[in-house]
Amino acid sequence: MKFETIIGLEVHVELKTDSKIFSSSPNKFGNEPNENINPKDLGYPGTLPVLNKEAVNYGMKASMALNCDIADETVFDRKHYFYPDNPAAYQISQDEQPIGEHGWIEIEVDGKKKKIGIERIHLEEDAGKLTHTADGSLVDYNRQGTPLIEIVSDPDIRTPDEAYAYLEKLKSIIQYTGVSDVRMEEGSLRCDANISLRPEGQEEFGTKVELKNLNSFAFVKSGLEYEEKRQAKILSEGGKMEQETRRYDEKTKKTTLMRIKDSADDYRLFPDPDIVPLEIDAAWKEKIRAEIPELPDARKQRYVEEMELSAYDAGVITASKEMADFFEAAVDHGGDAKLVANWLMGDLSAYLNKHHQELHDLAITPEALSKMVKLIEDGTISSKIAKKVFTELLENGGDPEKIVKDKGLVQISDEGQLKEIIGKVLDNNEQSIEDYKNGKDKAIGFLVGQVMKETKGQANPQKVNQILKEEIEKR
Amino acid sequence: MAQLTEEKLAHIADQSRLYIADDEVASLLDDLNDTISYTEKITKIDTDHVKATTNGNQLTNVLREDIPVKWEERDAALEHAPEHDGAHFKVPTIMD
Amino acid sequence: MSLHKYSINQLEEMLDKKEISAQELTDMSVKQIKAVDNDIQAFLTVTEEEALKNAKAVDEGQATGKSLAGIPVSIKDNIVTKGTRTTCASKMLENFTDPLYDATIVEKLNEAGAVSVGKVNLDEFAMGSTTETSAFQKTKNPWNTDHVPGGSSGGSAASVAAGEVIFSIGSDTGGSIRQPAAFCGVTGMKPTYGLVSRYGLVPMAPSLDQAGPITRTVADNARVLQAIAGHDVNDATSSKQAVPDYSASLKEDVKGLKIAVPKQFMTDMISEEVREAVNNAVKVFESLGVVCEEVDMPNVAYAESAYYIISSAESASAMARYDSVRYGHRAESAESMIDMYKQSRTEGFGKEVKRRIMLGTAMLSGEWNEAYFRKAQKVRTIITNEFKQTLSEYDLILGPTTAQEAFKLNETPDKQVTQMNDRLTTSVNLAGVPGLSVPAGFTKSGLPLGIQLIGNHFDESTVYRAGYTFEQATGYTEKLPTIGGSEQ
Repeated sequence: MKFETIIGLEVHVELKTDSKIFSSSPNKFGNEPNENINPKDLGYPGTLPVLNKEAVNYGMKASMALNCDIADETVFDRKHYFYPDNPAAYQISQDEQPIGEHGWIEIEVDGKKKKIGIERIHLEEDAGKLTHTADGSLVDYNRQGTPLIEIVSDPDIRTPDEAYAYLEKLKSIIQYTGVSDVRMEEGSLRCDANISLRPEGQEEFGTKVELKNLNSFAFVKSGLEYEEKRQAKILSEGGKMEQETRRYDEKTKKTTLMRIKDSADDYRLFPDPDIVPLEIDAAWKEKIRAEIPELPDARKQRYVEEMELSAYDAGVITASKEMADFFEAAVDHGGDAKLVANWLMGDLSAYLNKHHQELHDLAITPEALSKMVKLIEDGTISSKIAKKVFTELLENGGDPEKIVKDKGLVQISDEGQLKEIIGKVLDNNEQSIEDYKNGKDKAIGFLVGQVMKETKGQANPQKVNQILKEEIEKR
Repeated sequence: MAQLTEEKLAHIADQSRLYIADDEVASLLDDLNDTISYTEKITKIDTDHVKATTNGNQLTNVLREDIPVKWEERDAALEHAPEHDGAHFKVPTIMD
Repeated sequence: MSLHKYSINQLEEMLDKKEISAQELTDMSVKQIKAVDNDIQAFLTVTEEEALKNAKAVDEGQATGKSLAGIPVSIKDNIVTKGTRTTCASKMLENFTDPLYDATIVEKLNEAGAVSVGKVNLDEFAMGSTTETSAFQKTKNPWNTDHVPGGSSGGSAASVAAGEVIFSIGSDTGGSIRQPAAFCGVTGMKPTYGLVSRYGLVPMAPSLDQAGPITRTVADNARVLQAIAGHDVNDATSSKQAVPDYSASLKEDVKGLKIAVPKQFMTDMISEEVREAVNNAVKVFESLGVVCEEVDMPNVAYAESAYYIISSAESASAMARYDSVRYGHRAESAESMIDMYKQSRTEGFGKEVKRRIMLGTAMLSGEWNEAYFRKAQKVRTIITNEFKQTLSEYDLILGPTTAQEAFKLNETPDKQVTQMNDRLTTSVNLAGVPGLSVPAGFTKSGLPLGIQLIGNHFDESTVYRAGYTFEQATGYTEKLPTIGGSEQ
């Protein structure tokens, strides 16, 4: 039997406001345990939530960037459950009316474009953090009250690759809006996945399984791939799926059962009487809409149309806002777009991956890159030498012209100078001249190499080739 | 008429994170069902097109500016806790 | 000299003229507590040292010109006080020695120069109407110690009636200021929802809770409310309306006012003596040129039902945070996390609190959430509209504060009487309007009775004006209780 896979993703994104969503504690990652707390965050009796306006603005901005309709009126609800990381024993969330709904994003997999629907985006507060030890569980409430948006996709995703593309695109768009760092390794983006299978052609959805502990996009994909196979096997053997929550294991790349979903789970939701309803009028919406920057798809198109990048290159450059901003700044300084793009996608990306760094960790500026590209274009340095300059720029920054000058890296194009060096090389390699004359073209390569060695790579390769041939003919 | 059963009461107690002693179940059930029966009459009122009152008054859009304030009493708060370990609050180990 | 004899206005003058010092006033308060509180049992915590220190600061001129400078006050123990134990009369918070912050009301009292002498008893987490559900002690009615002071602000009302303080701050979710005020022969105001900040008032049912003053006289009451009312950025439900000058509204002139007396407040469940007190009040008002008319408010008959559902549901939610993780009672022998939660809560909460948590949880669970809770919220809208309608035609609504006199201690009140009592007061909380209980006479056995004056949203001024006029015309406030009335 053939199955169709149905995937839905729930993504939590932490909003980087200065203070928490319902209390004035600092909203910061990485501090000492329980440093950013106050009586409200601890659920002290008598404390009250007061909604942070910026959290609403950010939630609205993200929702708009993801093509959602924004609610005209919404309330915040109490969602009750007992857990040590949940100090009031209810989480303040939006149940009945999310701030955004009916959105979508477009993904591209294997050259095919597809729209994935977004059911809803709601604002809520994050919980504290638990660390389990043999002796007891430890609670840190720094994260308690961090503003979150939960982005719930429609069940439109059909393959793990689509899920991956959806997450990449979602991350990219949110990053462009500037409302979150969207760093999975810091937990500012978290993802749970729902997956079910149904026989091809069947309308009704199968029983879904929820996957947890998906700590990278690659794990989401890998977990879904494993789950797809596991479910297909059970179903083909005539088995039935249980509605359960499963945990992905990074080491084995398998999923294991966490718990069977309890239908008795009852969050006893009701609108929080401490928080008054929120009315969002057209003027407010327009103000936020005007703040949304150009988003990745629009930028990509512009790069293709105006800067003549290939669609692929434009896609790679615009996936990260930081990269795209850098690219644009370098081009503004006069660097050739195609060359700048190549350096960013090639040596720079490789360097970042190798060192697990981000663009802003590097010393290079857009201006420096554009200058370096110009030095290549006007023949001052060779591409080979440029790599040396580039490494210097990445690690220590500086002005490419000065680096080239100080390190004596200027390309030797002077014919007289080159003739002299070439003459010396030819004198010492009679055999190679012989070989070349006997039709062994490879010999010329060796001779060029010798010239480069003599000049520490600074000889203009085209000129060397040309003069070498002329000089051999003379002998 | 809606009434609590012994089974539902047990569920409610669990959801409330409370224990009920065996010898309290019967009287508690009677007591709660008495109140539930009394309130039953409101279910007969026509509330079509009536908006629910969720707050004590009619305010909307009360928002705070995004200004962080550091609180200096963390250590005292930790001392208040039945148990703490350094800067962490502590509870019995959670088996998931 | 006894505190009883003086109004805040008088004390202010005496302090100004240095006829008495704030320290002497505080001393009188503390002495009276020592003299009578063994019998009354109003106080859970007496902060003598702190009070004398603050009184000294007042004498040194630090509160000069402040509206409550040097005036001794007691605070219901569900209002948090930085540095002072706040228990909510619950074993759960028995060792909550310092909430680490002040309620906004407390800050305002401090700013006004009031001198707090301690925290007073209540029904556990304000759930009750006798102050008997307190985990620590049973407060007695100063008029007759075989009777309860009412509740849940029983400690507040008793401490004022017994002359232990000049005024007290109570809280009222369904009558918890007005009913004990009536039972103890003092004056209690449940202000318009949103007038007084709830920041630091430990919630019972947040959409209904309001703190307010309990005083001997209406003039004192207006003066205290003035000091604690007003917008608070820490409470999103706090009103931004300008607070009028309540004392300026206290004139003996009610001519031309129209007062409605709802039939639904005067049913067979109202005792003869209470009925007489209300009828007498009607006559007093009519003699002063007020038009009093009986009105029909049919939906008020559903008030207590809607209240039981809404308040228990909100309470269940408000009580959920007491999990023994960050503060509060933790059971010693917990075997697991869930067991810790259950044992700690089962041990830490009393019977009534647990009953309401379970009722409220039921009301919010599954299909009942829509069938009961959301339904009750809609009925609340209907009740509110009925109040608004009546108050668009009348300036005030008048009724009994309670169906009869104070219950006897340790006596389970008749259910129907309780339901009637609840109707009289909870309807006002549901509608969010202000309600004032003023003394309106005595039973043959000598227990005080109160009438309730209900006004439009934020129209405390008219409520006070009528209350003041009535008080001046009748003089019920002059009589002092047996205990505590030291110059009887």
